[in-house]
Amino acid sequence: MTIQPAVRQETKKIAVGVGVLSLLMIAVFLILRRFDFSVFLGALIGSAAAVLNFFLMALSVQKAADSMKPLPPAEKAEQEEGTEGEEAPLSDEAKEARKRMQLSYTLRMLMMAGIAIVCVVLPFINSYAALIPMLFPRIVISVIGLIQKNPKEA
Amino acid sequence: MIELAIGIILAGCAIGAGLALIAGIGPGIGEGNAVAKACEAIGRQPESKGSVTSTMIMGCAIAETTGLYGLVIGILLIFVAPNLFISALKTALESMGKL
Repeated sequence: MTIQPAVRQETKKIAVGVGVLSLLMIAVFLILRRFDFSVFLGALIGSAAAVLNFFLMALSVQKAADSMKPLPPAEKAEQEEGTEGEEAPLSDEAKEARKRMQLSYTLRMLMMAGIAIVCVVLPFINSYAALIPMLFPRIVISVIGLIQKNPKEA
Repeated sequence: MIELAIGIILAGCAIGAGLALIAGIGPGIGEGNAVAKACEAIGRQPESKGSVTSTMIMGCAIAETTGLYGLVIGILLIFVAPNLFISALKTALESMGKL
């Protein structure tokens, strides 16, 4: 399976953003004089888990998008005419994509739970430094949204 | 007496963790629905596949973080919080001279 440019580009953005925020977090630990090797290890594992989770999710989305075949023109026109005001039933391919995405979400959550539990249980990994980077992708996406919106408004 | 207090702390943490993990159900359902609708949009307009995929990835990532918040809170409540609360309870009892 080839990786789409959109997936590669978005993963790269998230990886850079998570890396920068992890460095900021390490700087905060340094300022608080709580930095040691366990913090570094935790930040490394947490960041890697966050980026891996995002990449796997993007791959699932790509797979779902690739599985969708273009609708034949007759069916397309029928859908556009017959669905004014009411929701059209999902096609079989869309239902399959939904199931695949839900399964992928469950498996990824299990993976994240496993990584988080290992990081909390092992004494040589700082649990806070490992858990906090898992929430960084959302901050990165919000920041990207703010940056991309401004040029359009101006 | 202290055993009862520790039991209440542990039960509270376990119930809290269970409640926090409920937050993981919604994003899974929502993500699936969003992807299904996006797939239909791609079926209707195959030329917009790139932009739809890009938007869908970002949307799914945002939805997923909600589940991750719940997961992180649940794990902290199970593995980290009980020790913190119990040590706080013991310190309080020691300062009152009851331990």
